[in-house]
Amino acid sequence: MIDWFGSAVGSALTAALLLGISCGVLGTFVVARRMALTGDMLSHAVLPGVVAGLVWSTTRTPLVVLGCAVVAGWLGSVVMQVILRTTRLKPDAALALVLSVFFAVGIAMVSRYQPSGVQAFLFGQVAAIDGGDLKLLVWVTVVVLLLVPWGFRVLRLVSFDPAFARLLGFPVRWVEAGFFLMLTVVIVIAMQAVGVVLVSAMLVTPAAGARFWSRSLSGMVWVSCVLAVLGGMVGVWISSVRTGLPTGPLMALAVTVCFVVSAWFGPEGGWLQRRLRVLRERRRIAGEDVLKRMWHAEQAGGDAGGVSVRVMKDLKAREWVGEGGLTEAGKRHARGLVRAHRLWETYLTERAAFKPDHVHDEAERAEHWIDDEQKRDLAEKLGFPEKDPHGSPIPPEEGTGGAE
Amino acid sequence: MNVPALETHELSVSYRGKPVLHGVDIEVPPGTLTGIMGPNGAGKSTLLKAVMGVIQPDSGWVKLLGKPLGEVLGRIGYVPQRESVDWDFPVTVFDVALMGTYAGLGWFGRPGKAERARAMEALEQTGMVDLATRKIGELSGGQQQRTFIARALAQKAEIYLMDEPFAGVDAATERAIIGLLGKLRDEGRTVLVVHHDLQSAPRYFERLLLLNLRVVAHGTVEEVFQPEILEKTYGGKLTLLSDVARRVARGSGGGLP
Repeated sequence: MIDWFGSAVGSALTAALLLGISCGVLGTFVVARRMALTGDMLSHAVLPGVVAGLVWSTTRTPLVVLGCAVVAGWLGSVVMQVILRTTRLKPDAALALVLSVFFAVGIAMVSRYQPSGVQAFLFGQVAAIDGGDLKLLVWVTVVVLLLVPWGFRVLRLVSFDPAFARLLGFPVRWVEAGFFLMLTVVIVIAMQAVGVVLVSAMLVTPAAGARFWSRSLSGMVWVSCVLAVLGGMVGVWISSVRTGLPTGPLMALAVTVCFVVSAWFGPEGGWLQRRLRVLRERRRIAGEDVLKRMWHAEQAGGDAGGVSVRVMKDLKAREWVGEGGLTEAGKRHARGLVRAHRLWETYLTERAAFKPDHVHDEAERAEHWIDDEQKRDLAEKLGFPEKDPHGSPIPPEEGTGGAE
Repeated sequence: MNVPALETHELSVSYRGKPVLHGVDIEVPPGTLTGIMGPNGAGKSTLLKAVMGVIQPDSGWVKLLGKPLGEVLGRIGYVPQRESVDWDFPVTVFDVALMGTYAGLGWFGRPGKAERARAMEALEQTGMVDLATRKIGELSGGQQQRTFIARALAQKAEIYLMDEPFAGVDAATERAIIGLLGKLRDEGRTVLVVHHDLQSAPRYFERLLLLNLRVVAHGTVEEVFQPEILEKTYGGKLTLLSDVARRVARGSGGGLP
């Protein structure tokens, strides 16, 4: 353990692990509350405080630097609130204003005082995180890990509906202040690892990726921790193997890779999942079109023509077609489609001023997407019509059937 | 009369330098169903926000159940306007309904069986059980409104403030919601509803509060739902009143140029 902490790579990996946890947990709330830009504002606004702290405490005591930074971040938030209250500026403009002014002051202070150690805050340098910082980081992570799960319910309620939270008697202002304090602390520490500009990457990217894995906030917290830790540690590891590559950007890039993988393969709206759904729906529609053709042919006593082997296999799997042609379920489903088609044609001509000879193609597309409830609704709105605009009978409502 | 459920005294509110309400002086008896009506920008939502303490009034005070808001927290329920909800927030229908039970839980308590049952019962009453695990962003307008009504039911509050619960809602949901509101009233709870549709108002509510920057009329439907009063409420803005009040609001600080 001692050796692990002692080695540069060991302490850098530990820092990445702890940072990943804190950033993952808080970042989830940041993303859910649409506060990504606020995080960016905070990371820039704390710079004057960081410089002041470094000048004041020449031994670079982490708590002093952190304290000064938190004060600067708090000041930035206050200025932002004052701007919002007293001018007509929108939040994005107010954010940009505070961010740039505070950062400008910070940079001016850097040139004037040239404090040692400020490079780490500007550009990120995991190696600069020493024993003292690491101890602080452990404490912060412990606090985040204890406070957030315990207060998770309340923090979520306050984030989602502050007015309601207040009515229930929760001290919304204090919860918000606590959240901002924790966020600022984590941002200041993350800055030393990845630099002022890339803090957003650690805070926002893992949480944004987590959206593709979970639909609940608690699930997102877990996933975003995993992504942040994974990305951070991989980043540190690569930069330690390939010397010469800076750690901060590598951590940011590794986290981004995690995000891209999530966006592709995540089960909650990832690219692959959406692609598969489209293909599945296309297959259903192709099957339904053939089913309808067979039904019409059966009604007219004619032949439905050739049907591809694949579609036929599909129809049999859905038990719409059996040995002796259409099954009862198949017929019912076909009647549902025809009913949807003709109701939609009637609706378009009567209510949407379509010409009767223009509605067929529209209905051909729509029939696959109108569910039973909508069919009932349509029929009610139209006064239960029996014929469509072309004079064909509209099949009456029955037990089940229609598009799924 | 018992202690009024809601009492405001000379309540005046301005928002971003614009005066929105003047001298609102009302007493709402407990166990009643009141519709709050008036043209756009009449201050209906503002009144609810001032009652809830979201907006600080310029002058006047509010008492709920005979006490200031701070002493009755948890006993007041609220259904927000649909536009003010972040529908992308990652919560499910059940999560939202469960939030109604948080009042009794304090800081670190976890919702147990009783709370879950209460949330589920509320979802049953609003017909949302089948959609309990859906994300709120995936719902239709009517379903979204039902979700928040369920949260209100689960809360078992004594006073309910609802901001346009019928906005963007289908006819079936509207009927269902008004039925639930009637039930709440029958249980002795007080319900105040911001409402838009004049036609349905006399059928839905027993009392009406007509607002147009100030209280135009307040009382039972029979007293208030009169052509001349409605004309006074909806017919034309009181330009002089709002002009002068705007200057006052600007001059007394907190205003905008």
